[in-house]
Amino acid sequence: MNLQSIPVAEKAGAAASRPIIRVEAVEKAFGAFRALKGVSLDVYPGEVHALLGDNGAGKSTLIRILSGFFRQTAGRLLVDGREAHFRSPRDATEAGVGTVYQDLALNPLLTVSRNFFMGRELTVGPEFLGILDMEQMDRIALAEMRKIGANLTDPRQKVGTMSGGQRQTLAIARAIYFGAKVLILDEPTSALGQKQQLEVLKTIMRVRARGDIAIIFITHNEIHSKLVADRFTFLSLGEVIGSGTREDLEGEDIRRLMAGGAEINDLARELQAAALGA
Amino acid sequence: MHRSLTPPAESIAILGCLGLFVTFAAILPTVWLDNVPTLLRDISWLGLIAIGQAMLITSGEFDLSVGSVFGFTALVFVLMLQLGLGAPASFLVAMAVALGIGALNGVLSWVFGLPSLLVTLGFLFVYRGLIQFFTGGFPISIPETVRESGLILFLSGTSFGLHNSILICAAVLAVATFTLGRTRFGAHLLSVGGDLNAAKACGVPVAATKIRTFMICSGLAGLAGIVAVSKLSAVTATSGEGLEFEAIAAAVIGGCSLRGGVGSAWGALLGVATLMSLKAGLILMGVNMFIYQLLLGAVLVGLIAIKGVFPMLREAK
Repeated sequence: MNLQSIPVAEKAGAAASRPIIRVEAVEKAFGAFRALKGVSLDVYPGEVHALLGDNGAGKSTLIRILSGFFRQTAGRLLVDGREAHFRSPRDATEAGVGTVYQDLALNPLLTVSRNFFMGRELTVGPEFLGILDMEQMDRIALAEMRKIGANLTDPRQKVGTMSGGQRQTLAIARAIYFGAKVLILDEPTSALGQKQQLEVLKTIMRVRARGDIAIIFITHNEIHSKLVADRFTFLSLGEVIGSGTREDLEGEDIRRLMAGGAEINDLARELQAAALGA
Repeated sequence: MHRSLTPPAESIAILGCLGLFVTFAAILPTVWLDNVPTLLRDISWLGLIAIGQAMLITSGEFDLSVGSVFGFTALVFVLMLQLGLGAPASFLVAMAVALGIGALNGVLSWVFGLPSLLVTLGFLFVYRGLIQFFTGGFPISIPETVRESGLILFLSGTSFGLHNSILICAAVLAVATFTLGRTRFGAHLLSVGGDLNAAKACGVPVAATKIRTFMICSGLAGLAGIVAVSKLSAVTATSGEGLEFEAIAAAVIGGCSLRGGVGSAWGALLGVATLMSLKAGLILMGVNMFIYQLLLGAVLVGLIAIKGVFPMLREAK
């Protein structure tokens, strides 16, 4: 499948008018260390926003602020135009920011539908008995996973028997079902083989095609970001060193920014010097 | 691996107890069958403890104090009877003590963050010490006057030729199985036992789930103590000693994963049936009891070794 050929039309309408998340000059200091030095970015519904940068660039700190683990030292966070103050991850989830971490928060010993509804089980009968509504949970879990393209037939399959890509899909489907309007995907392709990586990229494009969900795609992988992202933000040492839409940035720009702003030729020279020195 | 290829975690206990039953029935045909009602009663007593322990192990914890709690709850029950409280009230007081012990284990482990293995090991000695203090080396008996009371007659009696403790154990098995498989609490128990971080991230109330499971475990150990003392009439300094290890062994034979997240009440009960059949068979054959201890240890080590050699017997991760 040619991912580039997916039409960009859906976002052109109402969706693109207003960012669902606006990060305004956000700073975060840990003691004397400034992890973020005034970062701004806008995330629009129906778009994939790639957040790129090297280790230590501040990506993780930014995600943790967006998902309610940290509070910023300065700057503002606007969700749907209103200033948000997340005191806990739960606040962020309730405001519609769903984060899918690298470990996915899945229990491999339990079934798909048990994982889908973990901590938010559906019940029948008197509330205090807490009797599970298994049929309903199975039905919803299966339907929601199929919506974003999971090839799944048995909602009682154990998660431990699923592929990495399927697990990622489960975690994404769960976040969407429980109200995520912004989906933060933390390095979703990094621990997977090539075929599974493509599955995850396809899932991302299917979620994007819904048009109402904004996706923040954190990655190291320049090729993956170019395949799916509409907008790019590059972080380096706590600062935005470049940003723009797919049209704004040429391939070379992306590569240069990925390397933390250094020209690829500079890197080549440095490597050569190191090789000679050794 | 598809799940249909994975044998159920309980298979070893199924094979174990069937195999032992058939073997002993063949070796000692009449004696063995005559002993079945007593065997079932013994299974029901340890079974109550093992069901609680299995639920706790499945939630990712161990309780080493259940043997002492068994004896201590029975002691409280008898002391209340001696104070003239009446059987139903004494039962309620003793059960409240047992549940309180469980709550204390849970709170110390999950509110104060102490390792539960050491907390319950400590209480193993504390409650044993209290039992020894109160009994002073002499058995403490249920007063003659209350032995005919309805509750004690029921707990020690028989229906349809079966000890009532077997009916109680069957009822507990049914409730425990339903709880683990079909309720929100059961879902939380399995999720905190299998992957604590995932459970936390998904908003499962971790501490509440663990504390409640500790209470179930101690409560069932206490219930077993009350049922047993109603039949045996007296508490001694050694009542319940060593039951914690038999309960854990039974749970493991019955398919509980020592890492948590996998386990069932009926598996634990079959584990108990395996152990008690072995014990009874050896006694009836006149074999020295050290052989039982030896076999129990060997079975446990063997089981863990087999799980190491055959990956399909391990849980999918």
